[in-house]
Amino acid sequence: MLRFCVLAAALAGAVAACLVCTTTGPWAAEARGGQGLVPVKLDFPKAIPIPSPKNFRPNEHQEPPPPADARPPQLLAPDGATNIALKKPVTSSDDSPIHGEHAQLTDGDKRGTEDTVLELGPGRQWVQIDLKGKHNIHGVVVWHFRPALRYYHDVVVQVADDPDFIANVRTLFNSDYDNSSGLGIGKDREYMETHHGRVIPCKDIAAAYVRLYSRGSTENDMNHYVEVEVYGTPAR
Amino acid sequence: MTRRIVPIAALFAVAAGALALRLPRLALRPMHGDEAVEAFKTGVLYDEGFYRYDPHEYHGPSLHYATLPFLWLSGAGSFAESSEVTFRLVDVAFGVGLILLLPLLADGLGWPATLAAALLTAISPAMVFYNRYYIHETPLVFFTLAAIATAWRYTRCGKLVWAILAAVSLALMHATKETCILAFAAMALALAASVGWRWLWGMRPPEGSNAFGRLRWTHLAIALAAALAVSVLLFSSFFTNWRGLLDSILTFANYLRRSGGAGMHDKPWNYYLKLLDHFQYGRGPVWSETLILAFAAVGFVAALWPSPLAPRPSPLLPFLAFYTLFLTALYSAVPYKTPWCMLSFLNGLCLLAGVGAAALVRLVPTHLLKGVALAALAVPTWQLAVQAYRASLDRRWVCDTRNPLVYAHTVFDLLEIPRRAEQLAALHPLGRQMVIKIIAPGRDYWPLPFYLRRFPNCGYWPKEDPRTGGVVELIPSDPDADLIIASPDVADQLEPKLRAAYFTEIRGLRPGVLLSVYIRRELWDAFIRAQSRPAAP
Repeated sequence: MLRFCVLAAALAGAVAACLVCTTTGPWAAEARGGQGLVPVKLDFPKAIPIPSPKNFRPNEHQEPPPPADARPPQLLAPDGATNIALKKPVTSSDDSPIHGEHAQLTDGDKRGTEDTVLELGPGRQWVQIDLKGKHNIHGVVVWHFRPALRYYHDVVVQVADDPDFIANVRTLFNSDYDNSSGLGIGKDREYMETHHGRVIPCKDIAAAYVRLYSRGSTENDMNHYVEVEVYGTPAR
Repeated sequence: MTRRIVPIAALFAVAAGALALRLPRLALRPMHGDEAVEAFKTGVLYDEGFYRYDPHEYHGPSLHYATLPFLWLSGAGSFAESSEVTFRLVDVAFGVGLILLLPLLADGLGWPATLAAALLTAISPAMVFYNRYYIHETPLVFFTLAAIATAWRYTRCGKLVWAILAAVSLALMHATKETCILAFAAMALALAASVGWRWLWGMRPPEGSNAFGRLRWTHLAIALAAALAVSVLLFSSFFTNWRGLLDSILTFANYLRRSGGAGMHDKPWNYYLKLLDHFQYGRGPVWSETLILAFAAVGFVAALWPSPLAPRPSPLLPFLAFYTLFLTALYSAVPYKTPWCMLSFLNGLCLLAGVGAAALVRLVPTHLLKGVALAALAVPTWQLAVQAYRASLDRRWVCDTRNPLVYAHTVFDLLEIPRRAEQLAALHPLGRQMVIKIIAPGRDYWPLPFYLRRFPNCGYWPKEDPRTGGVVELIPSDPDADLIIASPDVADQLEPKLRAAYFTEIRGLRPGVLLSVYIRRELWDAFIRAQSRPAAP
């Protein structure tokens, strides 16, 4: 009987301890399967129908064109997470863009019209956002171009602690399926440009800089960026 | 003697400048589908000695035969060993030849106008762009100018050699492109109009320039025989295809039907003039050859009316003015329009612009002021050269849709397909002997046959009946291959037939046109294993 009581008490204690941990600890949200994270209110530009070829098939490294009535993607982040990239300084691998200015990348205007696109030269190029200090990042959203029948190649999104991307570099997204950009083989799929852009969630990653690579598209050799948003909170 | 040497030296300097804009980076721009088709046909001629004139497509034989010496000199043992540079050099040579022909017209235009025309021809963005394009337009313009220049020489001295050269040039125009018929019509109309014009205003030809007085029937007969000989040689593929002679005439009915419109290339009448005057796509750069248009307008006036602009216009000038006017009108009237077609009348506009520029400078009273005027004109002239550089030599614009001279052009992304084929061939036990199948309705796969010319086991679908042109096999009965390149439009028919496993990627062909690339799985896995080590940061 005593044994039974001890076992029951130990079991009850363990359950109680688990309950306390999962409801109050810093890992509480994860342990509860995302509780504590709330959907970020993403502001998508107006949808434009894309004419796509007949019988367009998906494959393991390229997504098919999404349906016209596709639901907007969701990004979960802690309550209070904001676009920490807004109005932050931008640099790129192309000092003299073909048109547009670096500041347009984080100016909040994502209409995708001619005058809101930053166009960088041919081949592999990158843009980089200085978050002005370490932040806990929960997701990146990128719009390369207005909705169009085009796939950008070798889209790679990385974060790091230093502007030269030497210290603590982490890759959040990589669609370079053949390592043609030399940043390693990626497991993500190339996608068609839509008004939803690409939402890239990540799990509370602390970094001070965000860098996005691309290497032209199926349409031309240039690299375009309409807007990049980074959702997060100041580093704890 | 010195009076001639200086302008001729200046003309050679301009020709050298023209070469400097035309020669560099000839392989920079991907081959346009039309360039690739012509290069492929030349390749068959080079490898197998086979050429048949097709009255329905691909234009005349002169371009293909003119390419052979370039291929011989390049050292290419076969089409597979050739490069796009060799093919495009042919058009570069004809393009610079346009400038080297100008001294033949110097006594009609005047040396200042000749040099100005040479300069404008050398730096016109459209001229530079299409002089680096392996299609028939530049040779056509060259033979047209050669016909006018040598005919002009004949009117000046009455020597048989000029008559023969003029007739041969006319024959070569015919053997180059069927649109020569528009130039022939413009020449005939201009000849009649210029004679009528001089009669109307009571102008007498200057002493010793009566063209009709010098015309001898024997010369005409010999010249005609020489022209016929050239036509027979080229259209009969050097006596191996006599049907080509008949086809060279029947072709005009086909092209007349096509020019009538209701096709994808139909455009409004002012398409060419708008293209030359002002073009800006979105926030792209402004493109304009208004300088040439404006000078040509002045040249037109100077050519037709004796005035302080041109006190004693030569009999060549009214002809050139009317010829350019009629040719521009004819090309504008035809609904079927592609931007390279404007080269024919743009050449006339450059000549008239030279006349106009020289006339304007002549109006300025003192040498000092003339110098100031020339310096002022140097600014827009330099701007033309900058545009020419941007359109033809700047990687950012050479096949960008914001460049007005780019038309249904291959995108850079397509070059990834031959690059991938080479990467896979390096891992394949058979190397370049690996099997490639290309499937695209309407043969919408050009320029791939050019870029895959080093792969002998490369097949193309749909297969067509050679007599009716109807499709007899859309998809190969056994479509499996090491590499399959297919239009997404045939995926429904193709994919159920595939027995092997494939990795697929998507590549661009032209703006808005994509191709699916199927790579046999084992080959892809071998490639990825070779690629899997990331490069150093």
